[in-house]
Amino acid sequence: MTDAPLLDRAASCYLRVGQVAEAARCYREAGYFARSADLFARIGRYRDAATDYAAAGLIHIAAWVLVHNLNDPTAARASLAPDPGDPADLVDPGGQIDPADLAGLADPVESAVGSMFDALERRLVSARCDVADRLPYRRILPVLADVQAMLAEASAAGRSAAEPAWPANAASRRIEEWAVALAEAAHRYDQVALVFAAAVRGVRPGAEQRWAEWSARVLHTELTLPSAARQTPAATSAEPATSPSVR
Amino acid sequence: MTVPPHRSGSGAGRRSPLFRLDEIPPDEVPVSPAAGSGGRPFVPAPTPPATLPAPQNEPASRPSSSGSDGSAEPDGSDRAGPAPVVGLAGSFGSASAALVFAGSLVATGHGDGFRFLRVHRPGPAAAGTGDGSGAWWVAVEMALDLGRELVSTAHGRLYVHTDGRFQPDRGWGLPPAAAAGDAAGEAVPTSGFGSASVVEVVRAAGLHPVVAGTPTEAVVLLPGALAGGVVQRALELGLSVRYRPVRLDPLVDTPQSVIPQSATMQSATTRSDTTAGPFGGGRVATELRLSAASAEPLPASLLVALNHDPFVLLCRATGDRLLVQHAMASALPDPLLAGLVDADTWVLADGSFGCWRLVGLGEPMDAAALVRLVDGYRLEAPERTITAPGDTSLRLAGRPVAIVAGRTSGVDIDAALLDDDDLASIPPLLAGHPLAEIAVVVRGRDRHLLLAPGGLLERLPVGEPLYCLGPGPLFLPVGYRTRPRLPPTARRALFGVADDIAVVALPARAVAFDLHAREPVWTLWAGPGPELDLQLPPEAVAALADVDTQVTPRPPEPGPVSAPEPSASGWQRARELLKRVRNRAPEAPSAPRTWLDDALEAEFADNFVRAAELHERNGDPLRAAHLYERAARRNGARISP
Repeated sequence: MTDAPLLDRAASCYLRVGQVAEAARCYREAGYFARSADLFARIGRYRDAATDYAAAGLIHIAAWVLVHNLNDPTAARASLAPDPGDPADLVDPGGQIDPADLAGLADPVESAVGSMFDALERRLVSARCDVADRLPYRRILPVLADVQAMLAEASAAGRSAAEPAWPANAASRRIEEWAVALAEAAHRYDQVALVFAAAVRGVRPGAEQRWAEWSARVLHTELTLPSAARQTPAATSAEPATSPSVR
Repeated sequence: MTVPPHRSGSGAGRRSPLFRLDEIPPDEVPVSPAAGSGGRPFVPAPTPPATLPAPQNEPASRPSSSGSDGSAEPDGSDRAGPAPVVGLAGSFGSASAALVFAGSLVATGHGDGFRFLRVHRPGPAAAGTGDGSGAWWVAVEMALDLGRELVSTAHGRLYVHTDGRFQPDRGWGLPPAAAAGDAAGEAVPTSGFGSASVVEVVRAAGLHPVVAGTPTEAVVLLPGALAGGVVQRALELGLSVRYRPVRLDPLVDTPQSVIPQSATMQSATTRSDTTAGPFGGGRVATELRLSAASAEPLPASLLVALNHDPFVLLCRATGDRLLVQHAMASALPDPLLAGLVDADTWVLADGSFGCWRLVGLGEPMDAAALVRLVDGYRLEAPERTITAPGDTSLRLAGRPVAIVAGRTSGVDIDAALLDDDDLASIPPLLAGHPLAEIAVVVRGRDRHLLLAPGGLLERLPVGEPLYCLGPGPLFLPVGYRTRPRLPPTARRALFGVADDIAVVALPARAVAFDLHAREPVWTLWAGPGPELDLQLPPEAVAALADVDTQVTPRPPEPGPVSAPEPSASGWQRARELLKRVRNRAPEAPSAPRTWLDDALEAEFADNFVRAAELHERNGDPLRAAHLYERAARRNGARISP
């Protein structure tokens, strides 16, 4: 057993000189698996990253790295072994998530929202495994529809509850990122646009910029959003409030 | 596998040849220098003598009035169906091109009917006409359109056999007329050709570099003294290794003047000549066969390392007949080359190793026994005095502490042990290097210790790299550990380590260094500084002169003090004064005490955290990280690695 605080300081020093691999090794030896996994993923050592994400209890992220970065859907599915009581089991694949179904699992609203995020992450990983296994793409559309609904609405609910927004924002940001990657892997760029549009309607921080960057990177076009969409966000309408023009 | 016809010495395939070269007198046929021909003269094809018939779907003889340029003939593109099968020959400027053409013949199902030719006796029409008499020729019977495509692909020139001559082909349409090339003087009579063996062509073409694949099996030829290390590394990687001694005889015994050789094969021939001795130029080497379990590819890193070793030849094996150097290839595919081997095993490599004929000396054996054990353990009967019940005098005798080879992967380089030659190499190595700022050297009688606060953290190309085992400045060579494993207190007691005495434990001995004698490493190449011209104001000079006057027993001669330059004694005093004020002595290149000294002393006192904090505060986070790690491991496990 080594001295974790000293290894933490060693890792910080390694990061200052740019030796990310050494820093990740120190974090791993110190037991700070989430940090080491992030660093391993940053330098492309995805297998190590998946191992450490799993060790840190971030099963969904580990599975996502396995399937998305390592193209190993078998290992990803194995790491997503169903466990009893998983809220995802309550969700009909292809059906909408009803928060009322999750209300009885935990009393705090925060737990319910977190469980909803977990369920969405799990379904996204499973859908990404389907894409990797070249299964019919129609199975991913319900997942993306749920993600779009969450991105367009959940943010407003969170603000109204006056709760700390950053955990939900971090989770929703990851879900948005995975949904975009999933749709891109399936070559469904229309779904990518719908995901971004939902994020813009939901006033997700930086959603417009991410959409524009994605458009420039993938479509090689500049994205222009109507100003009305930015000034009157959400509009709490499921219909696409933004009709982006690509020039 | 298709084998070219030269092995049977006939050159005849299953099909009846459309032409033959039996006009060549046997005594003038060049003798193949390679074993493929066995030194035998060319034997004409045992087919009935026949002149080359006209193409099968063409008239036996075309009217000469059709014109030598064939302008009156219909173009071949207007005809339907396959092109006529004719006897043709490609002339190529190099043996490699001829081999490429031969390979394409094999690939298209014509591997049993071609033969290599050289212009042996230029005919009257061939002399001085640029007919390619120095080129390599490949003769075959095949469809004309396919022959045109393959020959042009190999950058050759196509000739069609007509009436005992090779007429140049115009590249389209019907075969050239009998007199087409004669008018231009480009026709080559077949009587001027001699047969060349495939071995000659392979030998002249040599090898060229190719992208190395990922073989599942490899053969290593190396001196026996190097076998143990390779076997150990291969076993560590989980490979299966078998070995046997082999005899290598030169594949080419005598150079043949009639055959131009490529540079590669010339050097191989030279090598065989120079190594020729009482045993016929052969030598004995060790063959290792490396194979991975379950048909997995061999580790690429191992293959690269072996391929870079100048004393080792790494080969890929094609069956039991052919070994070709790794990442090299002949223009002829390996399976076809393997079919040319007459006996034993051929080893084809570039000029640095040469080409050899390999003869195995015994059956392959498991190579695990080649890994030399450090110690021998005698088999002894148990001592009854120890195992006897009721014996109260049981006492375990301690084994002498030894420094043995062991895994130290992941350790950082903390210091280096230098000898006198290494010390002389340090100035050009470290001048301008960041280590010159912090490294110190402790000189000894014939060994010297180069170290730095926080560790060198870099493997220098000189000296033996050391890692600090601790406690204190106890260093071991990288790749070695103590046996038995010792706790820190035992190491301090057994090795006599103190805060100011560094000990380097070597397998054969331990050397100690007085750390008080350490000097900055830059003192190895930096001598005294420049002479200091002290620029004092005239008033200070006058005051110093007054002091001189007062402290000197004999006052100087009275006179005006007009010279602004101080006296020699004034210089000395001013210098001493400045030295005291600024703590600098320009004539002695000793550095003042800095935080590095504090960090080094804290490190040797095992106060790694303080040393790390000093490095971190002074902008050296890399060594701070290294020291934090050492502190963490020291706190976590207080036993030797």
